[in-house]
Amino acid sequence: MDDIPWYSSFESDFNPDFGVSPPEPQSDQYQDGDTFGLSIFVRDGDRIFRTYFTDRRGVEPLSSNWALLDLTPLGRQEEWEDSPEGRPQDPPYEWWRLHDEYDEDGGSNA
Amino acid sequence: MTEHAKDRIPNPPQAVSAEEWEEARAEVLAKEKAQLRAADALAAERRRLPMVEVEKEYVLEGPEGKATLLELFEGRPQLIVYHFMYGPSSDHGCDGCSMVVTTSAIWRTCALGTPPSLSSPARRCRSWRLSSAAWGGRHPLVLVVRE
Repeated sequence: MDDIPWYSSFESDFNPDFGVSPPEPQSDQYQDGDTFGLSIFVRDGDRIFRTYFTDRRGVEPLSSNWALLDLTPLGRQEEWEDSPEGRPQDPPYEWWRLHDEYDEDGGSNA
Repeated sequence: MTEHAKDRIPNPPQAVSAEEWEEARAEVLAKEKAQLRAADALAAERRRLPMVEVEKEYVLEGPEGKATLLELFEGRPQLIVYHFMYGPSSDHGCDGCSMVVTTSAIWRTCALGTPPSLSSPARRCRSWRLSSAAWGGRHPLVLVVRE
């Protein structure tokens, strides 16, 4: 995704202050204990305000994946879903891969 | 994915006449409309949320070097920031965040609107900027990673 304007908050208080990273990286945890979330800021001249924050499933609107899967009979195929008996279901998250790490059939090759 | 799921859905939906299906779909549609209206009401509440001033000056590292949070607005009144999960010692970002970014609805809209002559990555980048401007320049999507 070369086209996205990425910004790194390395060695700044930005992520810890907004509740998505621990104060210090935790080397024994996945992604050093970093997490994810969505913040909305507004500007009034040179002053900045945060109006909104969400994390965990709250970020789902950012991607079209889940909305589309929720329209299908198979759904997300995750264990927590209320699906008819016998439909395939796996633990959540574990079927996700980086885009070039799926097997040839598009499966998760788990 | 399990083997049988590729040829046929296990315990598939019941096959019915078009009329029966239309009737069942109408029931779901009514609930979908109720859900949409509820979402509209919730969005109205969100638009009335209070806000908290950001007191510190944050300096981030972007495509063109150091940038303050204020500069990320690029003169626009609103800023959407996705805090991407990417630990300092990790060699790749979180799988889920990567999927989110790859399939971002906002991003995809721009990609679909790209004329063929703007198909190279560099051009796509410019197209993204153009699309951004086409929305009145109000909603840049900025991704913040901690690497």
